[in-house]
Amino acid sequence: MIAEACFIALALAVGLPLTLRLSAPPREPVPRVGEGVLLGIAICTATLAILPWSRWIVIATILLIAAIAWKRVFTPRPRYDALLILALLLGYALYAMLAPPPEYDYLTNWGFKAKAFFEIRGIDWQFLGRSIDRNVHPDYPLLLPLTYDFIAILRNGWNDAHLGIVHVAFAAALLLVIHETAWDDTRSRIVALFIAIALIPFAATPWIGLAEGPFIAYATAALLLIRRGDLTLGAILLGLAASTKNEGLTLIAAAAIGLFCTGRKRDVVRLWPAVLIPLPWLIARSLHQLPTDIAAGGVVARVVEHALHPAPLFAALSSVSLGKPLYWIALAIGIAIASRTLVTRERFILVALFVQFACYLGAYLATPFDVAWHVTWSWERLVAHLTPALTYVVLVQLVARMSTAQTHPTRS
Amino acid sequence: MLAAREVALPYQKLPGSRELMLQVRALTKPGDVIAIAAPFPKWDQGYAYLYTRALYPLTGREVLPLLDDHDRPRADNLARANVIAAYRCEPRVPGFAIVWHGRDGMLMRRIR
Repeated sequence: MIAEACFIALALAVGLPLTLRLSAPPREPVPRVGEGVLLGIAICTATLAILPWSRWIVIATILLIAAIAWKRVFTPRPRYDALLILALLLGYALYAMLAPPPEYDYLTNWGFKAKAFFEIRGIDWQFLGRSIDRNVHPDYPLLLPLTYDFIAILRNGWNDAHLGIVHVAFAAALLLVIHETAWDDTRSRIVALFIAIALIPFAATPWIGLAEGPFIAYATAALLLIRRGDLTLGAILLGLAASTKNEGLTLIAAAAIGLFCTGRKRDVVRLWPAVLIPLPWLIARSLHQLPTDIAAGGVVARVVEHALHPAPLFAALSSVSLGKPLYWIALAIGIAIASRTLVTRERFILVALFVQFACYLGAYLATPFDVAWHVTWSWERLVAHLTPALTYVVLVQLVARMSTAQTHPTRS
Repeated sequence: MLAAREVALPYQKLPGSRELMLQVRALTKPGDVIAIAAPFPKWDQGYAYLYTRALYPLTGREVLPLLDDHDRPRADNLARANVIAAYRCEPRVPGFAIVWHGRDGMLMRRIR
């Protein structure tokens, strides 16, 4: 556990000061811990793409970056309510660290790559190029495998017993971002706490070892920051979402369309860091000719074929349970109640999520695999990408509506 | 108890397969090319389960299937392998000798 704890400490040490430099005011450290962890984890992993995989070299580099960034004097303000959110993650932490990640996709993809890279102390392009099993997905971005490798480097050995803590860190970071954003939106400590606690099941994903949790953290935090006008940091987190899962690439386009549809056309250009951050990986995977299954030859023919015969897709979508029926009923009621304010005030998030959702359906149309198989093994996780941000805006607008009703009882 | 069950979870349909692969890892070195032999004639009826779960414990080695996903034998992979990890079967392959035998399988190494 020492290596894992050191990793989170290093991530926070380097991520927090950089977050404060990159974020929009107010630049206070305590409310920015969530963004700091998210950014810090990415900086730690980025060092592995550049530096030799040596414990002392990467630690020295991280501390140097942190020292350079720690120039300003901060006045921390205590936020004890955020500690309650972290305390409520204790059960999730026990679950996540019960054993090495047992998920199939961890053993054949995320964890497999990380372990294979650690064997040679570097990104093994030969391994990625020759991968026989299709589940290895050599084209997937490497932020999560390199995160596991960073911990292994700190330990100077591979041990997956407590890797689940990475997922706890991502969940905690996202919930802190949600809490701070909710405080910013509602100016109520109790409401902010309620919203953050309500979103714990969405941030604390059950897929330990997979990239869903990290992706949800980066993507949701990015959308919420862009929504409130924190463009630079939001765009960086959006780029990191694209460095975690390929779905993040379409999310960049979705966010740009969302901004465009809300009349924030100038802000579209300010998303440039989101494009810049995943670019080196995209170039590298192109140079190494790593195959992408969705884009494999005959995409147009597959899309046309599936679009002309959509019955198997609909059958597959309707057969996969998304669970939580009470949640979906409550969400539908919430959307119905707050529909007017959602459309006027939350157009950015709604459009971005809708475009992303359309891209997911598009991926199913383009799939080279059996549609039923593809949907069965991904649909629940893909929907989980979208629900935290959607639930957040519905809750915030319901609160806003309640506040309006209390202030102006005759209007309601 | 719960942790031990979680560790065994991904391998539970083929008892002993995790222990076999850990033993194979201990007896091989990085760079070895390991072919996976199993008593399953079809990819989707046990072979894929074993093969895909052998990848993680055997990182650093090149792990090759002896069957493709259309259930065709992969003689080319056998020709490339210098080690055979056999789960609950005892293949007789010319040019290979048994170097270790356990409860759930054995390891064969190319001798010529």
